[in-house]
Amino acid sequence: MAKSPQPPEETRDEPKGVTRRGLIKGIASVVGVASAGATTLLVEARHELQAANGNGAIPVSLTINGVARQGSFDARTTLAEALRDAWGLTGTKVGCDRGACGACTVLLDGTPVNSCLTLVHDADGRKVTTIEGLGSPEAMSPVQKAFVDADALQCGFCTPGMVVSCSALLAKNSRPSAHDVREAVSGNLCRCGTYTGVFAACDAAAKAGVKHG
Amino acid sequence: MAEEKKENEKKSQEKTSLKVPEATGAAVTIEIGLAPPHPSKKISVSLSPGDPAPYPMGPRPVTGGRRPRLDGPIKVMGRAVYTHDVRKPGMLHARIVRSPHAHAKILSIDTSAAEKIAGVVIENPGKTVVRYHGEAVVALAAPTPAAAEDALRAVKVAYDVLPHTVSLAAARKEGAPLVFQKAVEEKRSAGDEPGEASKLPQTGNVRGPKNSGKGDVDKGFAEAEGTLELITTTSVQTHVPLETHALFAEWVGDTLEVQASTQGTFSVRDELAEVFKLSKDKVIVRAEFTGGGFGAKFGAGDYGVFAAKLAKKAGKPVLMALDRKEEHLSAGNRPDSWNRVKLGYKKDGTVTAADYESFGTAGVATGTGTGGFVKAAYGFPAVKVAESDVFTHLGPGCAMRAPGHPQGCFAVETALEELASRLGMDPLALRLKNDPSEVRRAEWELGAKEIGWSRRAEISKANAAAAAAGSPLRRGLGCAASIWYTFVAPGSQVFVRIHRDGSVEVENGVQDIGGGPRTPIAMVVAEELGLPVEKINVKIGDSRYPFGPASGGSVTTGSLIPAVRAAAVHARDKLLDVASKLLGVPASEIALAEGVFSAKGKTVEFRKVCSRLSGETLVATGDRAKDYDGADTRIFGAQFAEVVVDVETGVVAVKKVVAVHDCGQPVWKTGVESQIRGGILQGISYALFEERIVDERSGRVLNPNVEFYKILGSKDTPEIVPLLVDFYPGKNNAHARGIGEPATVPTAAAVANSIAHATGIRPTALPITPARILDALGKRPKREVRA
Repeated sequence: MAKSPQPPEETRDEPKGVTRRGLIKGIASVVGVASAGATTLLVEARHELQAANGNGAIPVSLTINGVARQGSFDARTTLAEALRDAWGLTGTKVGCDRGACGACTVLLDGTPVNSCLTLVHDADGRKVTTIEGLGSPEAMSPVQKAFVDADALQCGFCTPGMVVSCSALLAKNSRPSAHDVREAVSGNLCRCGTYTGVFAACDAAAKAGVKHG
Repeated sequence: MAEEKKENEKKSQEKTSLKVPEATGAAVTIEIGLAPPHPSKKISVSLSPGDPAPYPMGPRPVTGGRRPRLDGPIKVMGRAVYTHDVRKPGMLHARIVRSPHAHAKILSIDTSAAEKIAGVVIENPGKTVVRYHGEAVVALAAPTPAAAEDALRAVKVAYDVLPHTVSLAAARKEGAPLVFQKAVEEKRSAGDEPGEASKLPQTGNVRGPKNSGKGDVDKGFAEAEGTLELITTTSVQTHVPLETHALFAEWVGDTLEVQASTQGTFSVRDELAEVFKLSKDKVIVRAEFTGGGFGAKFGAGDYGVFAAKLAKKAGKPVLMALDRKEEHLSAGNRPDSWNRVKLGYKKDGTVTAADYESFGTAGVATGTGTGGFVKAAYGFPAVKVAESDVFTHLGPGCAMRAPGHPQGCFAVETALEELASRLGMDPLALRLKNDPSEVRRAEWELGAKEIGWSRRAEISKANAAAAAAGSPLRRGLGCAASIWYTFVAPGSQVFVRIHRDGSVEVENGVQDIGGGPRTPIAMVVAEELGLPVEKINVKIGDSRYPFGPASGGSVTTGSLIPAVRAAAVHARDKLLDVASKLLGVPASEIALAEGVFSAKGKTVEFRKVCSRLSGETLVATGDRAKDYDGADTRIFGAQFAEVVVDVETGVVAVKKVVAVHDCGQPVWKTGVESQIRGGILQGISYALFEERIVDERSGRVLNPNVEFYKILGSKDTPEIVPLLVDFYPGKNNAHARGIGEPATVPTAAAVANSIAHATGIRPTALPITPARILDALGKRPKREVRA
């Protein structure tokens, strides 16, 4: 299950008022309000956050798949949007845009997070690993290879998130139990029904002695 | 394994010449039926010109086997480009202003503030009325997603809210607010069960009944020794593809170029050509990767038409991707249902007649009938069906994986379970009494063995002991039958291109929604050309390739594979002619295996033969020939479920599902098994969790998301055992049939029946939630409901 990003150990300069707490506060303030249109509560929250911060892009720099990246973004921009729209890393998918499906799972300093619930400014100065950083066309990661071998995918849209969650699990726990695997991907929804393949793939990768992340 | 393959290859080569007789309408004798030890049947059929004879019984070197999917690597690396992922310089992001009301008159639409945002374009179709929460009112596009959100917020729409009706029961009542003032004609999408697209009577919000059936029902009931009647209901299920509906549109000159998240490359092309009055060559649709569909993604959709209009207006590419809420509200669902089933029966368990009635709501759409199963699944001699649609002020229902069938299966299989219980019969014995299908009988037998059906009496005893001991856990076994039909998309066509360097391309416009057609296509071609599967470059998902089927009705494999095989065989024939000259041996005496043509001790490599082609490229065409005679067009299946129910909490854990299906001769077993697993998991989800909840007072959908609309997750996944009967149905050169839909038809009913065995209750409403189980057990305190 994707966890909330942990605050970094060192103190760092945070862009004024742009914090995950701000986003959560934003959500809390609109929970009681009936959403009239087709927008989601989260969109409302992000709108309020933007209003609170005023217009104008705020610079951010982070490391993505080992490469230093800079950019300037509105306060409301999520990490998922920045990855996909600004840096072209569309392997990270957005399935629900509110942290319920796990398709957008990436590693933030090694911990799986929902990048649709993480503001890009909250990733400032931190290390992000996306699906593109786990393997290359020349060399799939052992987890990726195990997914292919076990046919742990169908349409493939949830697959990057699944692979990231399984990779994070194996990096922490090289001999996960069946329960551990189910727990690790419990935040990743798959509608094609590939879970049994995912369990088998994770198991096979663990048995092959995989450790990375 | 490899040696076994070689052995098989040798055998098949020894038997016949590789050359296909060019005779037109050649009559051949083919063997159909279940593989030994079951008896088979020999029949004479007329082949279409150029169509190879069907596979003889017995193993084949490549097809029928398991292997990883060819597009697995690109998907697991996150490098497959879905419609959501298309990014082009200067592109705009589109959004849709949607109605917050279930029914309202639109008084005014003010887009002036939105238009002031830099780069915003607006498409206002000038609607005057909205009929459901989430109906599109105005579309717009802006240079960034954030600007589009701001523009969306800036559009002001004034509504005069009108009375609405949002439930099946309320909408059927006299005096209910009318959804449509005039009679509505049926619009069916691909993948629906074909029916007469007829004009039916419409009274109030009720459209129908559509009457159908077979046999003499009055006689059947007159002969009955008893009757049984019950009513079942099912809830609205939404498709929830992980990739929401999306379409990317760009005008290049006078050509509309599109990438769509779709189940039908060609259905999207044809719809856009019609809307924009373009000839088919002026619309290009790409759909290489689609993030799931399940029946909801056949057309261009209003969102897609908006995207193309906005792109034209802006002179820029536009990406329209629905958000999860829009997906739930507007992009389709499986209609809910109310089903009454009455059976006449003999005391030995034989059903003599069935009287069946269904009502369902597809919101503002039609197509809710659930009577297909009762007519086709068993050997009931007389069946009468009356199906009616009930309009409500809710988003349109549409085809969803085996339309009408999980609902109808749940109704009929619940009635059969009740009948077995009334007669004191074993539920499986009762089904066998009513099941003349040889294929299904083989399936019942296989499945019963795998699930351990013989434990059933023992389990009942253990449950009684658990109850006496005050333990809350009960175990149950249940089963249900599947039925589906072989549909074919006529006109499916395949090109095989072989280049002088020996490389092989296969082209068909079909899309991949998860079924993974690239792999079986490559396997068929590899087998005919004696090449490794990886060497076959399969190119799909583009309307410029030859026509391929929409992925609906489980037609993809059955429509495509015979055409693929025909194209591969024709290509091989042409290569044999070249090889014949090189080897100085008649083509009919040449064998082809592992990249080498050989005859009389002489060999020539595949590549060398290709280098001697007269043109740069050899192009061979394969047409999907018309079906010829063969087995029953029905596709039979049987599933068994084992559950554990906690009678204190009402929580159900599905432990195991055994699924035995007929998929003709599967081409790519791995993919078939994955499809079966997926069908089962969606079926369990339907049985236990999925329910769209609508507030009757406001007419709004309360759970248009994936946190409160619960779908099955990793922790709800049981052990699944997919099994296939080895079946040769004939009909086409590959004995090919689909599997996507049959696999999901019986699961919910099998789960319900296993819950019945575990607890003694008779679930008649889906989803079978803990609350419903506790209610049925009389264990939930009655709550006062405030008026």
